[in-house]
Amino acid sequence: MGRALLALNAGLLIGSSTLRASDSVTSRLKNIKIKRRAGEIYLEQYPEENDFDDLVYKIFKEDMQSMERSSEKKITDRLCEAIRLDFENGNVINLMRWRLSRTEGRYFAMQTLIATNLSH
Amino acid sequence: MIKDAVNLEQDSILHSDVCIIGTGAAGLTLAKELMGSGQSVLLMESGGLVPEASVDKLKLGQLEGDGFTFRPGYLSTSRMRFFGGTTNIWEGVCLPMEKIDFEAREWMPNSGWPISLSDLEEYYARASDYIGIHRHGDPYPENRQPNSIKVLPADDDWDQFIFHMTNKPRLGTRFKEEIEASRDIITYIQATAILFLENENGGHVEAVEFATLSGNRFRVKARRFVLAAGGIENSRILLNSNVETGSKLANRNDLLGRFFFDQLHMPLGKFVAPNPLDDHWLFFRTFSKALGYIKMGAIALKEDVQRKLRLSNQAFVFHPLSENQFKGDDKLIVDSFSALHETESVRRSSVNIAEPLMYAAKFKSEQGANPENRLTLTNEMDELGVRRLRLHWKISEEDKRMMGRFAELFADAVGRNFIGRVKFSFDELDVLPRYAGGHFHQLGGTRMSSNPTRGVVDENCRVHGTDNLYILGGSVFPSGGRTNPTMTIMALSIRLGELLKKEVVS
Repeated sequence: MGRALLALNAGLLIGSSTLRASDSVTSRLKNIKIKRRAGEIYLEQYPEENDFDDLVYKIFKEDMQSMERSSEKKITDRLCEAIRLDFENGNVINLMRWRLSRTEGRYFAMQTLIATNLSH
Repeated sequence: MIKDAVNLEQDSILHSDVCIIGTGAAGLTLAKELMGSGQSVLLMESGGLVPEASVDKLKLGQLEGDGFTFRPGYLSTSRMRFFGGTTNIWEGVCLPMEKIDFEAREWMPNSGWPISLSDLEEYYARASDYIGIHRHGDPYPENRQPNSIKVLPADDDWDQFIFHMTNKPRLGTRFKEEIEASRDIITYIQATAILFLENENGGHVEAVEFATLSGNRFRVKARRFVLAAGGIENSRILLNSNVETGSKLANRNDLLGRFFFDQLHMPLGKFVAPNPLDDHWLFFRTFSKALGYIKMGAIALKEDVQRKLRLSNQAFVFHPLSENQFKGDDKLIVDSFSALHETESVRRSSVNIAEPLMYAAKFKSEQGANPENRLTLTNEMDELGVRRLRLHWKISEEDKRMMGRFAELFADAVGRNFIGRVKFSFDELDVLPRYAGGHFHQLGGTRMSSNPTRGVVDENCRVHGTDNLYILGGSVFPSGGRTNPTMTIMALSIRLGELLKKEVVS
């Protein structure tokens, strides 16, 4: 369930502008499911990253256990900083012709992986 | 006064101090500048006072592309042949070229003018006055009118600026009454220049032969001739003269018609900004009550960044899109980024969250000058017996690379500043989007250089090796930057007018 919580935080941050903390867990999960497609495309482009724990480490430079104890603010700060650095350092991807930071692509992939697990 | 050449007697010979061929931005501006100078001026227009289908046929030609498709009507829908020339369809964008556009840059092949921006600044200001537009860079009449926009941080690599669009771009309409009333100027309509006739030893134009579609032929003898027939037609008339008379007028070094280029026009794609950009309305065509005409914003790389990254001069303009133009996958990305932006903007105490704003971004790009992009003649004759033209023109791999890099830099700049995200309109620049192509800013062909082996005209627009022939218009541009060329054409025309007046005095 720790992974799901982290993914839900991800959903809050990058999942949808319409999501709010007060939204039900059900609606959050539904939203994450809808957003699987971008992550699927990312994982098709980078199949070697098809590993949830590895994605967490690549994004946050910390393992799952540490991140589960993190506050939402800390996750946000880490995420925004990682994205900024990606764009500064040319660590960018073209996803469906969108120019995105690599971190954004990985976040989509995280959502896809957790949604896939939940649906099973 | 304005006369119809159809009424001239066959084989007439007209005389004047100055004969100006063409009544577009260049010809009309020069004529206006010479008013009251004491010089007699013949102002010659191929068409009439309104467009006519029979005259329009004269401009048809062949296109040879290489790797991309010409925009429809590239030769036929622009290049207007009636009083006022192509200003009859001019959008009205008024901007001077920039300092870097005049520089020789080793990463831009064959770039560099023999004059600098400072040589033209005075004339840009006068051109602004001619068409009643605010002088670029001067303070606005009231403080509420910003000179710049702030999409990206001021310390970033980008120059964000406002430009003007005159609401009266039809110079034929604007100047007709004044030209018609001038004692110094006689305008002939329906008079198409078909041949330049040099003296026996070369180096001096004796006369220019004209024809009308009614079958009339006549000549003009003048002390000075100024060819201002348009970016493409200037080369065509001179090439035709070379073939028909065996002369090498304007072509002693095989440069005539070469180095053709345009400003490349391409959709970058879509740009989404989750929050309304500060002063975002300035991006769009906005009518300024205080100024009395339209303003618009654009974004370009600063000159020192262009030098550092060895890129061509390019700019983005933006147009608003409705939200329903983002669907499916696009909507997902827009929503996702919007949420992320919300967290970041709240932290930065930015403006309130609103619906994402979407913009279509297009860019205009300088094209490198290539001698193989050229105008030549076919063996087919038009209705007046002038050979029709062929334009061979391609976009080089380097042009494409620079456009792609520019697009990436912009996307990364808005990304790292949490301003928005960009969706490109292309996967690879090798396959250019459907709407890519030229901007109908047809430049080069009689390029300017102080060295006769590198240019057709000198820094004063005089044809090398000829004492009384001058060329005006986009054809003299050795490189074009990304700025619409009309203001520069007008500035060069005023400058030549000043020179011709001084020569008379001396």
